[in-house]
Parts: sequence; structure tokens; C-alpha cells
Amino acid sequence: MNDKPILSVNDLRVDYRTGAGQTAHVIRGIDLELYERQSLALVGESGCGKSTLALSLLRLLPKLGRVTGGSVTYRGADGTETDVLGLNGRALRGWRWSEVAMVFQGAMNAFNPVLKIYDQFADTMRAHADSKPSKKDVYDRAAAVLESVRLDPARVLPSYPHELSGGMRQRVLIALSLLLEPRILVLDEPTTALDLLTQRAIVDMLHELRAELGFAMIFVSHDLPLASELADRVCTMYAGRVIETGTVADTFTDPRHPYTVGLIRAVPPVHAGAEEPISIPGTPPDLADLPAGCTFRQRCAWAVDECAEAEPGLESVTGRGGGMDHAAACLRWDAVRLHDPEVSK
Amino acid sequence: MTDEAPLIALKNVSQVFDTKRGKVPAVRDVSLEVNAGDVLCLVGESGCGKTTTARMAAGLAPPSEGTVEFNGRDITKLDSAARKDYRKSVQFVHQDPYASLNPIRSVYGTLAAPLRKHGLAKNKKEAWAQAAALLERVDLTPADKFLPKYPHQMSGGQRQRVAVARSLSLQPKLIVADEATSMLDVSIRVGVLRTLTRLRTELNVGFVFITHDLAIARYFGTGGNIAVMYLGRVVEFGPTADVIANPQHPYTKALLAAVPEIDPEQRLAHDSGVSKVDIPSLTDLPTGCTFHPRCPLYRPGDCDTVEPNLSFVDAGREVACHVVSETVDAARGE
Repeated sequence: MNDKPILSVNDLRVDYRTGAGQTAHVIRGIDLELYERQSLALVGESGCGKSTLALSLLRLLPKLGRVTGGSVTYRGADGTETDVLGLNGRALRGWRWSEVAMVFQGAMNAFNPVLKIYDQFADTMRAHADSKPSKKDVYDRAAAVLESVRLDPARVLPSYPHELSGGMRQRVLIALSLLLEPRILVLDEPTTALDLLTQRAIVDMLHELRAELGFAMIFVSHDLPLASELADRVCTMYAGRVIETGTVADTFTDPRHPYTVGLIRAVPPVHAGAEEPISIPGTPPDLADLPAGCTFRQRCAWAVDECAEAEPGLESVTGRGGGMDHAAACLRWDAVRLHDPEVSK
Repeated sequence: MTDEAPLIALKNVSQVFDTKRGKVPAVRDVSLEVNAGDVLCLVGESGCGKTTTARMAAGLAPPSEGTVEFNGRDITKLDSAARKDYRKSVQFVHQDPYASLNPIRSVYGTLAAPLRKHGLAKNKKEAWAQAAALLERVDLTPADKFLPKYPHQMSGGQRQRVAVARSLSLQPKLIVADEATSMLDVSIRVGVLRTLTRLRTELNVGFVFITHDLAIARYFGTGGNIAVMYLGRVVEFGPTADVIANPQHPYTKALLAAVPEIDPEQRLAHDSGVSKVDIPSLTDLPTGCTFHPRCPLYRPGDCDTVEPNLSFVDAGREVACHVVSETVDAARGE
């Protein structure tokens, strides 16, 4: 295993122009590292910037969005480094899908409704592969990836998207993302809108595919239990920043940022014996008009006067010089505990 | 138990939709009851008929077969006064607060319309005061600040509270909530559920609560019943806490086993033995028990020839499964 990350994000900043002519700071200085075969979850609620971050990794920001600073570096299998934000034209198309592919949210909208599934695969291969593929190349490759997601190519390839069920469409999307054997998959809410049993099948399948094909994953989710099952590491996002990062076990059993605590405590448990869920008071801040200091402090049970002074950066919470393996952007991380009775009040 | 007729009773209702691809039996032979202050959760996957069932209870879709009764009377045979009473007594809260509110009506306009229409408020001053009281009920305070707002000026959680306030305006006895919290962010979902729970305990409002989320059903449905639906039929029924803690039907077991668990140390085995194939089409239902092609308990014989009906397995608990019923009967025989 390579000890250098295959994807590094450094102080990334993204702004959006809003309808009212304001500028919303959607991503405000994010650092991220993804290692080979790792599965990283970006969790948070609507508007925290998680989807924008995922899109900017593939340079897929909509027109109103603009990267205003920072860098994204991709390290190829041979060790060559690519400045992702500097890629353009053919180089960008060749990099997308063959190195990093995306599984979009909403399996219905991601397809062209008037193209058969075969043509969607052919389009993707023509757009991103090095050489012009023959019909047989497309068919063979498409059949191989469809079989890997346990779909019957003879049934699926001649179908239109609307002829497939939601679960099948989601699997076709995953197959499509695997078409050119990328090293990184970026998934935006991969199981939202799927039924429980279908969701379970997709989760199990992603685990198997990752073990078999060895890709790394970054996936965006608002569903914490799902993130806990799919990821090795978690980044909690709030108001355009990563406010906590750690392993799944650290983040979900010993969170040190009040917002992560709040998210976990807000989910009612399905099995007996857990505490009464509690909601987080207030609403997220306006990204075009952020308050000074910590952006979460007005909703926070642990906030003190110093929290208004400066926005805290990520700080190791492991003590003993454990590095950034588990870090939180909170002045009071030392006092924050998941089962603090203070929160329940 | 009282001898009085339930507030709303569905009696052997079915709903068949006529489509280009043939007849789609969305709901088949469902009987359910709910009373003021009760909560009945309907759970199941898309296409199981939970929304159609709720729409029949709310009088939004007349059943193809069977009857819907309000205080013991068939809702299609009510005189106009009783019909008006039924319409006021049963209200619906939709899933999407971005679509269910009129974008060019202020909160006051949205809340005042039913109050004025039904003569509960005689003038603007009364309507304003009543609308303000409704907002306080759903914890949107200060009410005077929210009444002049338009939907686009509010967050999703605030909009859903307005939708709930509107459903309360006619002092209903029953609210049918169709995935009313599934579009809300997790941090505010519990707050809205808590508001709904207070309506139950303080105003004795009953709920038919539709959700695909079993954790939400367990939380909100405490003290009530749950009906698990599969392909248009109720396959398991009982007190919500009991069914979730100790499911009997193999489908309910599979659903519960599939729920993701946040704490890695608490994670149970997810493999319930249920085949991962997609749900069969309603236009081409399997013979016998419609769950048999996916069922880990499947045995050739009754399972693929005779459709099981709900039968009692324990006090208040009903399950529609040949194998479970046989096991229960055998245990009783000993």
C-alpha cells in the first residue's frame, strides 16, 4: 500500500453567486486526504457544502460556482501528480472517468431518458477513453461491469432508463462509473430514495466491489448510520468547512465537535435502549453573511464567550501527539462528550 | 375498549387502478381502525400501498371495494352536515413542504383561508389571532413575525410546521401524515415529531403516520399500532414497540435487519436471508403468499398456492404467514 494519498485537497475555497447578487462562501478552506482503497464519508445537512465539494473534485461545478482558492492534487498509479484544477479540455476528459468517476444522486435524472442503456455506456466510453472504442469493445466492457453489479447485460443494455426499477438504475449508474476502471469513485447520496432492502443490497455490493476492484470512495450522505456502515473515515461538514474528521469508530462513538454530537443525538434509534433523540436548536448560518467566530456557536450547548472571537481550526483531540487522525474544530473539544447530560436540557 | 365505533375504520378496502398496462391492485383487502389520540403507523417499501391506504382513510380516493367508516357510518352515505364534519375532522399533511404550500400566499393567507371558509373567524382580526395561536401550537414563535412571511422566506422545517398548523386550523380529530418528516434535515426532524406528539397528548389528535423509516415509526408510534405492508396487503400488525422489538413476519424481520446502525460495535448481522431480487410487479403478483419468492421460510405447498390472511399469533399481534402460524399453533398444541 502506498503511504501517500491518491487525492489531496488543500485549502479549497468555492463561492457561489446567488440570485440576489450576493456571494455565498460554500466551501471555506477545506483540507482532505484520500488514501488508496479508503472509503471516506462527507456527512452534514443541506447546504453544508458536501455536494459542492464532491462536484468540485471532478471539476463539475455549475456555472454560478467558482473555485476561488486552494488546490486538488491527484497522484496516479505511477506516482505522477496531476493538478486537477489546472486540467482542461481533452486532458480533463481523459482524467475524468478513467481515474476518478462519479455516481450522481437521483438515479432517474442521471441518465438521458431517450437513450438506451447501451448508448449511455457507448457515450461515456467515447467521451473519456483514450482510443475510439468499437461496438464490440463497448458491449464487452459494459457487459463485464454490469455483471459485476449482478445485472443481466442482455436484459439491461437494450432497455431505456424508465424500463428499469430504481434499484436497477442505481446499480447501472454504479456499473457506468466503473466502466473505465477508475481508482476513485465519488458518490453523491448513493442510496437516497431507495427502499430499505434495495439500499442494503447496494451497500453490500459496494463493499464487495471495493474489496474486489480496490478503488477508493468518497461519498456524500446526510444519513449518519449509512455513512457509518460504508466508510472507514468520516468528515463532518458545517457551513462550508470540515469541523470534525476521524475514523468511523472515533467519530460515531466519541465525537468531539458539538455539531457531530448533535447529528448523532438527533437520529432516533431503531433498537431499544438508547437515549431520547434531541434536535439541534436554530438553523445553519447564511453562507453569504456568516457570523464572526465559530459558525455553530449560536446553536451550541457548549459555547462560551471565546467562541465568538475567532473561527477555530481543526485540532487533534487524541492528545499524546496523535496527529490529525481524530480532529475537531472546536475550542471546547476536551469538554464535548456524546452522552453529556447538558445537551438533553 | 369501548363499544363506540372507531373514529375511522377501513373495512376490507381494496384499490385497483386501471392503467394502460392493465389493472394494478395497489391495496387488497385491508382492514384498519384508528381513534382520536391514537397513532397508527403504516410502513413498507415504495409501492406497498401505504399512501393509497392513507388516501382512502382521508377520503381522497374512494376504495374500489370495501368501505371507509367515520364514527361507524359509511363516508359515501353521509348527509351534508356529517360530511362536512368528516372533512373537518380528517386532515392530510403532505411529504413535501416545498410543494404543498401556495408560494404566493403568506403564512397568514394560508392559515386564514380555511378559518374564514368554515366560518371559524368572522373578520381579519379574529383570523389573525387564531392563525397566531396555530403557529404557537407548532412552535413557530413569535407568531407575528411568521404570519406575514411567504414560503420562500422560510426553511423546510418551518414550512412543514406551517403545513401542520394549516391541518390543525379546523380542529381535526385525525391527521394523516404522509412521510411528513422525510424531507427534513435530521437536526430538525425530531423537533417536528415532538410537536406532532404534543398535538396527540394535548389535543387528543389521532394520527395515521406513513413512513419508510422504522426508527421514526418506533419513536413517533410509541403507544400505538403499526401495520407493515407488502404489495398491497398488511402482513404484520401489532403494538409498534412489540413489532419492532420482536418482529414475527419474515418480511418485517428483513426490514429491521436492513436498517443501518450508527454504532459499529452495536451492529447486528444484516443478512436476513431474504433474496435481494427486486419487489415483484403489482401487475404480475406471485401466486399464494406474494412474499414467497423472496422468503427464507418458504416451503413448497401452501406458501405458493394459498394467500395467507392475518391471524393472531399473540395478544394484539397478527401475522399473515403460513409458517409462522403453524409454528404458533404447534407451540399451543403442546
